[in-house]
Amino acid sequence: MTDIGEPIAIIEDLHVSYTTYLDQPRRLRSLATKAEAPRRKKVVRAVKGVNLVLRKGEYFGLIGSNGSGKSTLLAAMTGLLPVDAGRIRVKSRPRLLGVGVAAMRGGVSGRLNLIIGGLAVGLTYKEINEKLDDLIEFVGIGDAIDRPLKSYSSGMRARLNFTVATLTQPDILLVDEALAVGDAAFIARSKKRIDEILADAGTVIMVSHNVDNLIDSCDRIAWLKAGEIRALGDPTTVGEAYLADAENREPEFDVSSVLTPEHFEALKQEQQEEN
Amino acid sequence: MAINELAEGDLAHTDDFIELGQVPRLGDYLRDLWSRREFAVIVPYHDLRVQKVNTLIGQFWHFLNPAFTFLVYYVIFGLILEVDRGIDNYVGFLVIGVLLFTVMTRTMTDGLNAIESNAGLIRSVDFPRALLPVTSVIGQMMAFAPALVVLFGALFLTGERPSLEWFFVVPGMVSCFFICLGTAWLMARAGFAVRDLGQVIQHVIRLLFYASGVLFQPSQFIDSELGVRLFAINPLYDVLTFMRWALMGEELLPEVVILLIVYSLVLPVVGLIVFMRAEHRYAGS
Repeated sequence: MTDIGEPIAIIEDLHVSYTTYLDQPRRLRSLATKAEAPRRKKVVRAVKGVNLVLRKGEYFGLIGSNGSGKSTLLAAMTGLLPVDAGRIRVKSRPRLLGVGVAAMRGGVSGRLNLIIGGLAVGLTYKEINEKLDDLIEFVGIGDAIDRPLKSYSSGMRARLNFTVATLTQPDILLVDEALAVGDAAFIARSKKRIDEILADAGTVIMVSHNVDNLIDSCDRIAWLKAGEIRALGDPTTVGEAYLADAENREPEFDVSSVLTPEHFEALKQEQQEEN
Repeated sequence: MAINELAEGDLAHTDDFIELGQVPRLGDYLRDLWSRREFAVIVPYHDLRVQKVNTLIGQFWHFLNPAFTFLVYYVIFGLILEVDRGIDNYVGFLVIGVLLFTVMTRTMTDGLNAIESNAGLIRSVDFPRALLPVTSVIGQMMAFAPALVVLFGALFLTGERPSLEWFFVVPGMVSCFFICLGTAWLMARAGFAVRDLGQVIQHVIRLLFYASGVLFQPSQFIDSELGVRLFAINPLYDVLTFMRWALMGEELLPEVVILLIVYSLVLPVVGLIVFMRAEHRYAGS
């Protein structure tokens, strides 16, 4: 781990849930028998009691399988989802960079979306216009910049999103597997931009289900499962704990040093029961 | 095994931290909103510009649409049904009514959809969401500028001549803007909470159409004086009546002016407060 900087985000006993609407057809019979219609609203409790302190200049990785609550945690850290219980305090508002991010304004050109994104981020029109040529070059999609956004491929969209999200130096940048869709050249450029942000004492949080990527670059990793942090700390060790669990096998080396106390206790109990 | 616990003295730095997922403080929120003011002007300008680019005569539609809207009403209500009883300049009366009513109810419909139609932007970038209803109201006001040309043209052609009272169009439009803004914030919150409102709104607007005196003066059809005076409760009626007084000397009761001022001040304040109480939830739909 690198030098411990001062905290930049403090998450205490965080609980986050979100509501989805189920598309269940109402059965004819249930109408006839006046049985209760199926509940169409569903509350998903995605993050359950997360504690985390992120520090200045840290490259932090978040790993977990699909549906582990990673994206929900990031959304809450961006202020996109309300907090049910607990609290998140941040030095400045984190910026989210996600592949799931929808088009900003599908009907208008990529160029105009850059301008709109820049204004929304808080730049002035003058500042954006001064930067615009550089930005368009950074997006690197050629003439397509003047085509409507809805005609973009997911890779082109990711390039535009990345450019908007890093328009100004963010103190905290959250990256949600956004780089996976770009081509090699774009990934290289994005990594360079992330390094610049880190060098400027920004904190980067990278979310992935690819362990190798995170182990290579991160200072620390947290493993999230079913909305709870199971392990936290040294990337190689946490990565092994996660992989062992995902592949349903024993870890190749002792990973107990990174397991969170609750998870450690649960594992111990499990082993005792087996014996 | 203490993992990632706060180190000694860490909390000493947290005084200026922002708490996420909570209703923001009004002062911070207003400052954020003000710092994004360029957004509210530049975005609707570009939206308007691209709106008609793939039509044959492009930007002319911004003038032709209000002209046609007015013509249809004039043919039906002025020429065929003759509801123009007792109004000297029915064309002027109608053109003010129809065009202003259209822009005001459009800001209501836009407001209702403000969150959903900008879902992509809301999920991409963090910014005060109250900016979106502001942007849509400013967009409607910009789109109203050509309609205003049509309006003045129609007034001039029907014999109205500029007078000092015409200057009252400025406070009238300012008042109209703030009433629309407040309503748009309220609508945005309501439309976010209850999606069914998108279906209900068209019926409400049709009802408002008759309750705002767009086509006729209430006194022509209602005998009781109290009944006529009750129309002043409707802010849309107040805007139309004030503008008709300013532009063509129609009757203006004092309560209309008073309520117009009250609505212009109260609606935006109430609207913003109601809107921002769900600020932290708008992205989570």
